[in-house]
Amino acid sequence: MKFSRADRSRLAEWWFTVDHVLLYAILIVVAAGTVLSLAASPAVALKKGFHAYYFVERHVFFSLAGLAIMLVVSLLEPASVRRLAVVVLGASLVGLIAVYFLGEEINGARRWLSIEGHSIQPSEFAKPAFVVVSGWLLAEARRRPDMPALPLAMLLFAIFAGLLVIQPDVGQTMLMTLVWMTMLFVSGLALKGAAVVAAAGAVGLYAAYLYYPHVTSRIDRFFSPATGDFSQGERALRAFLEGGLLGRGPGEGTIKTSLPDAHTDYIFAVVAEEFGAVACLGLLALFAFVVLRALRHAETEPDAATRLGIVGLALMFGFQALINMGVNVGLLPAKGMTLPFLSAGGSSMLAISLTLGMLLALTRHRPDADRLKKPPLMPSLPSLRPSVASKKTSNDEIKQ
Amino acid sequence: MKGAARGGRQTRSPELARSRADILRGTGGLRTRLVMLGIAFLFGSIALQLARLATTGGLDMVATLTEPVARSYVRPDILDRGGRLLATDIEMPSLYADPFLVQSIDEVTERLGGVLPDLNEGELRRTLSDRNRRFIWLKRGMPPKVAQRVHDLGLPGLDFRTELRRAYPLERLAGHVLGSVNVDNRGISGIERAIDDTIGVEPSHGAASNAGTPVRLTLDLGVQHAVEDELLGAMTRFEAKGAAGLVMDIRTGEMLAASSLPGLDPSQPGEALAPERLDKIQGGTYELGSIFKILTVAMALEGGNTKLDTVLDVTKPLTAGRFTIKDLHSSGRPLTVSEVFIHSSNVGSGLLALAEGPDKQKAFLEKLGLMTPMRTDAGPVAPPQLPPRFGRVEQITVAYGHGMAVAPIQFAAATAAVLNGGTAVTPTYFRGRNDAATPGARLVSAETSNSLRVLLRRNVSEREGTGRRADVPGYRVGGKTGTAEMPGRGGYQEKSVVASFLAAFPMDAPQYLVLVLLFEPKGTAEADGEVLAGRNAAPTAGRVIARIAPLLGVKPDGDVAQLPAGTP
Repeated sequence: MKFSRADRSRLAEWWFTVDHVLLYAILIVVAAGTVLSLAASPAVALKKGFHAYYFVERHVFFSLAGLAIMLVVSLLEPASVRRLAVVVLGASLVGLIAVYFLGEEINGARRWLSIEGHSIQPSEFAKPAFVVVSGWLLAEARRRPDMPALPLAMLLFAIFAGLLVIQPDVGQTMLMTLVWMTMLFVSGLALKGAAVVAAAGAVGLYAAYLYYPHVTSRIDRFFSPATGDFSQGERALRAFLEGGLLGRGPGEGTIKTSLPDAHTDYIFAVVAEEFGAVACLGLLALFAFVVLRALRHAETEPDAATRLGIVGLALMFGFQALINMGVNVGLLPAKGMTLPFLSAGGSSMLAISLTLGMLLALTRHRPDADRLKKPPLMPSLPSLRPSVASKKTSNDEIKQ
Repeated sequence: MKGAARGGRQTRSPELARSRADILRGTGGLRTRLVMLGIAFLFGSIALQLARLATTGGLDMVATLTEPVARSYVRPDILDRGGRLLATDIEMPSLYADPFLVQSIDEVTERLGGVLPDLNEGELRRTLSDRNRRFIWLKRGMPPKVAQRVHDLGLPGLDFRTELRRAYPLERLAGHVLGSVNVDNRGISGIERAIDDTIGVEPSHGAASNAGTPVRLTLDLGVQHAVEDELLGAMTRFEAKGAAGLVMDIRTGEMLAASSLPGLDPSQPGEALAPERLDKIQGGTYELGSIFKILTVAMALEGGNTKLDTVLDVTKPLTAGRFTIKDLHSSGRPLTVSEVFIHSSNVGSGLLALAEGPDKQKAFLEKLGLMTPMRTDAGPVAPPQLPPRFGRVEQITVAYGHGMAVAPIQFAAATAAVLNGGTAVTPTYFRGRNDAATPGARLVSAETSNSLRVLLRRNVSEREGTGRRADVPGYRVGGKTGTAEMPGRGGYQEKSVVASFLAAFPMDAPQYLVLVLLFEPKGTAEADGEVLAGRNAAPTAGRVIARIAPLLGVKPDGDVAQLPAGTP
């Protein structure tokens, strides 16, 4: 892409302010996901009675749609991102409530809403929106102690987590709790409070273990594999062993034919078997890079709401990848968690695109913010007065 | 919105706002950095696990996982006492099918049948029709040439996996001792089974890995071959239905050879089911006949009341209930114990047993281990079949080797103890298990053992000895013949016998025990129309000793001119 520096259009401005490296890394993930969907999904599609490239076509379609959403959302200003988040959150909370009453029960859980033949999972869209809104509320709580922002944030979390629990979707609940607790920590919550929150999280997990039979059985099986068949996880592990460092070669894998979730939850294992640990490490590095790159922006971000938004979005993306990979390599108990951009699934793909779109938007280079920037951990350096802050800045300032 | 908020803050109190922002930013930055560290740690641990899994290769846990894991076991090589190879693992392609990928079942069945004619077509058709299965073995282990021909058919859905298969380069040689393995390379009989049970074998996934230290047997390939060769020759010459022979180190019990004919090919385990291929050394029990008199005389001498020159009245037949026992060729005069042995007098043996009484007879057999089941490294030995009680009849018949059936290896072990100076012997096939330096428990006195040596030698060296045809000049052979009528329909069959010869050499200080058995030999011209052991088993034993004595390094003595040409 080429833009003149004199071009003042919104697109040109976006191009000069967006984090190019982060953008490219994300595009590589999307491209890799499309290629790798060719490895896993034809076998599953045939097994489920679709034509071989059914899931590949869907993957390509949703990738393109996702890219469009991501780019459009990344054009927004931080304030507009928050407004969008409020709207999306409101809509998806309504959706979540509707799911409870109208949702179709699949495998003992109501997660899907069927609208004109399309299945939509409201919780996927609620996640990024919730994170951004929560970040905003937590920042407000710090900035204006007179406003009841913190109780509001707690209430929002309780509502969202409650709606997830009644689905039930213990995996997503845990993911969101983890992200939310980390955001609380970053927002400057006193360490005593952080400890209390962590303890509450542990109690919640234990409660899930006690009251959800499938959680109980999964965790039991993980810690003592002899008590259950544990077969998906074990087969996945076998894929890593058989794949070795360089893999058996594209199309040579056998795991995809025996795993029902080869194209979604266990695509990482398919990649391992066919392309080897080296490819897996490459993917892992890519995910880690995206997360850490985004968190670096958060580190120097002066605006608390934006910073918390970045932290939340990056962690949601990162934890989701971590949990999925952890389950695949046998470090975590089985959990229905997709691998961003690699696993098949429309809602997940579009929601992740929305997440990264917001992330790209929040991490954009903002000259007014740069004015406030100082090297972290060195508050003694003199800072510029932020009075010249303005949206329209000269070219020279952008270059700094 | 954000700009507006910040503007408001600055107008209120710019300095205060900035310092608060600094603090917030400071702790926020620090905590964000902590979060980054945490995330990096988590990604790192997954990367570590990835690397660990990838470099572990096929570890044990895989074996317990799912169905189509091709698994075979890595076995150690088996060597003879001289380090020569008896059995080893080789990699062979195994053919499997993925029914899901097979395009035409008809084509596969038809064309594969052309290359592998022993494939069951109906079975193949049935398994290939099950499209839900993704892995079916079609043929485990095939020669690379055949595999290439199957490959060249170019049939989709068929593929090979390299597996370890057991190979026995000597085919049937020592087949009964070696035993065999199943399709997964696990030992199911003989020494192979013993390796699984005592040493243990490792599962493998295809490629050969370190098979561990080779197992060294006590067998000597040269001796084993000589024994099998001579037995085969004897079977032909005397038209016998079967033959068996063993060579044992008389002091340590190490087995140098053990052969049972018709032989067994270890690579075809199905052969073991044929009744005629039963292992006659330790798998079957037989009434061994007069060779049992070695034990009867030993028992009498141990009793203390009998000497070699004690005279027994053998002119009158022995009666026991409705049975009458008399000698085949009665000499018509009383005989000394020595003469009873050399003339193989049934009446004399009976008298010796009766003189000792049933308790002493039983106790003596018990002491020699003939009353209880035994086992060797090559597996369990068929348990002895004993008379229900030791009455007068049983005492007499057992004295000359009838009415009680034992496995030849169990009898050989008992006799070895009588001849080696009197100490117990446990037969073994594993080199180094039995230590020559620590002799077994004393079973008979040295004097008794010495007397028996003299008797056995005289039985071969004297002109009227039944074992004279077993003599080998220079090697001081001693031995005893046995011709036992085989039980059949309607009682014992006079012409259907087990002819045996138990020999040891050199008799002045015995080193090796040789036992030869011929099953149902015919009275061929070679045997002068007789089926007696002195005519067939004894000369066979002589020929075996003539071949193996030089191999075993036994020094010949006496008149060198006596030695046959070609003997070193």
